[in-house]
Amino acid sequence: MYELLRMKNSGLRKDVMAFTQELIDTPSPSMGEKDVADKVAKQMDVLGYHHVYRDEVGNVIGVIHGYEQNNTLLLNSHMDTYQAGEHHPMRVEGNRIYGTGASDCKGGLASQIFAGALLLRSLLPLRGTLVVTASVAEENGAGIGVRTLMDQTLPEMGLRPDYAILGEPTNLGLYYGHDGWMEMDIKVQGADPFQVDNAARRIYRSYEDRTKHTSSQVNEVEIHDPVFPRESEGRVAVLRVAKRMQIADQAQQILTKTERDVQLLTQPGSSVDVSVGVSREQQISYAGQEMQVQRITNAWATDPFDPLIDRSRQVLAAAGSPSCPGKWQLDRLGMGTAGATLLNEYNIPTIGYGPGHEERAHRSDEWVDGEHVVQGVYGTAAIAHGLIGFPVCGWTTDDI
Amino acid sequence: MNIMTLNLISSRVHYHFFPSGHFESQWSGCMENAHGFEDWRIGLAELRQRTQNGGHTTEAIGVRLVHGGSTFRNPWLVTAETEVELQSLSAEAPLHIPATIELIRAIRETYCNVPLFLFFETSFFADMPERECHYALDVNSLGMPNLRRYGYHGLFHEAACAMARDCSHKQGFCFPERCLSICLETRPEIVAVDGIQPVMVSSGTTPLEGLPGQTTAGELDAGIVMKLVRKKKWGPEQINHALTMESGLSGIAGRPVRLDEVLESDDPSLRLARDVFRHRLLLACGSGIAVLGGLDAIIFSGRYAPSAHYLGPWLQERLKRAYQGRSELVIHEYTLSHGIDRILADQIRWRPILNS
Repeated sequence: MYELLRMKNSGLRKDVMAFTQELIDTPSPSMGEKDVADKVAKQMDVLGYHHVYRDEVGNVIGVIHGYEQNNTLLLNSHMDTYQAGEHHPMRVEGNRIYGTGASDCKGGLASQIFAGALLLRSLLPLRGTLVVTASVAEENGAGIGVRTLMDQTLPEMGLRPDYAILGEPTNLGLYYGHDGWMEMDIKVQGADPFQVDNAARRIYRSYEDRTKHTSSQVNEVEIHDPVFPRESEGRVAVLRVAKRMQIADQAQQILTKTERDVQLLTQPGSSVDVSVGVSREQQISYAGQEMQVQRITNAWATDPFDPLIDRSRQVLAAAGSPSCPGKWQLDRLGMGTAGATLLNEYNIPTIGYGPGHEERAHRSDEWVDGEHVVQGVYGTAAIAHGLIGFPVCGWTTDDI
Repeated sequence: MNIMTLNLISSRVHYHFFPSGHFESQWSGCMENAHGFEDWRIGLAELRQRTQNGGHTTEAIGVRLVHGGSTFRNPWLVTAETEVELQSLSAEAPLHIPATIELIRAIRETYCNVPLFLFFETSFFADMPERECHYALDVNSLGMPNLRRYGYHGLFHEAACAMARDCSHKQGFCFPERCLSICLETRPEIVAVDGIQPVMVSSGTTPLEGLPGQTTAGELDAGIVMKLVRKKKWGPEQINHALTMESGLSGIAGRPVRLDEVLESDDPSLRLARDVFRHRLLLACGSGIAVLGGLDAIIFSGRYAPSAHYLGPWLQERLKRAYQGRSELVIHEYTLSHGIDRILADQIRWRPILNS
């Protein structure tokens, strides 16, 4: 069976490479994914997906129906890219495809879309349903795309995923979770501008010290310069702090503790008020949908003994692409995946399997190895078949 | 009648054209780099053009399928309903049936008005005695009511037995009632045939059971599978790969080998593989003879049928010895030299098609 998959995958190689380059060459900042979404929808149509939809926030959903409907596998990659500065145009050097979002996660998006095509071309019958989704608004920490998928789009289509695979960069390892992070707005308010500024300065320095004295390579906390919005009465300073969250951390507990800590930093007897809340933003999707975004990503970890991980590992070993389980490090705050939403909020066992390296994500020289993307197509299709395909026991493609 | 035969192996369509009056194919080939419906449709259109350029029109097409389950008990004339009936069998032969359905679609689109016949390797075994088909399992409580034993070289066996009957008649011998039909393919198979009815087959619910093949383990203790699960933490895919791709004669030899190489070579590195294969074959022959209550003929077929030249005498000697040295015992031996394409064409020429 895997010979067949390999053979068909080599037939797709040229198209996979071209599509990956096309995706990377198309800018798609959060809430500005329309051009990429158009390309994804068109490609799914060309590749023969049974149904291709777009929901109201702009997610693209491709469905391949199996013979039965007892299992649904969700493949998810986000279309938007981290946008720190200008978009870095696509360029190719050897096997490397450079450009914004190459690793995170347009390589993975291409792999997942073509994995569906590979299963179709291999004519391997599926028991369950394969749902390949390209979602919006992941990099801005909103998770609006995935939440809309889960709350609205997929239920309306009669689909309820049993497992999910993210196309985020894992270097083709099987990743099952990562730490979370939360952005908090510390609001310092008072009638006396000097007391407000003084308190804001103390809080800022305190957090700045913590970031300087961290022993780990991984960012635990990060603070942005204070902003002073104009208020009708008195003086207000807002400091935005990002903090890493572990699996056991509860957002409310962190907020309470942070509020207690910063109140201690204000001078005794001063008349400033301090409050802490999760940062919120108002955003508009490319499809025109208005939404309020909370800047929080919870930590998540699928049970390492979950059958999803075990079966995926077994399948990849059988397919000749052995892969070790691991977790994303997310060495910079602000990074995250849709796993937190899928596992924590919808209880769907989730793993990551995608080309590209996490360390290359969100960098100006971001790149992905094109051969890795092609290999990702094969691996993703093999896992998908292991989870929702009819088992091929006792048969080989040849000889009989 | 101008006949085209098509055989799908490893996603490649092998074709043979038999113009009217020719028993052997006059031209043949293989559609390389064809990936599914669209490629096959284009390839078939080229074939049709080639036939027309040669001044012929294709009047009948035959396609071989490995598995027809209990639905397809005879050769089958394809109708609009056939695809749905085949789809219901996809889970039982997932690598073959969906691909063949695509091929059938492509053929029907290209050759709209040409009768298309399907020939199933399992049809020959449709009416095997229940005692032979049934496993000692509670298939209903397992939720697998269709679990039963089949053979997967029925077309070879049927043609070989017919050829043996024909030859014996021409030679003035008695009709060989009790035959052992040995198909020497990459996954070899032995069938005991009583008259025209198979009564024992070495294969099982998949082709994995039975004699060791070039890369397939053949019959083995189910406990081995459980050990692989427990000790190596393997899943079904790894076990399947090990038992179907890395075992058998190649597994014993430690390198890829062919069945004819093992049977014909005197290479000492292949001695164990040869001994194991011949031993398992001899045991299977013993089972077949016991079921038949005797033996009149051994018939060889398959792509490695020429190796019968080496295997036949060895087998005859062992079997005669088993008959307590009765040297007067006569076991006729026949070898079918036809390929599967010729068998398909012959079936279209002479076999009544019964869609039931």
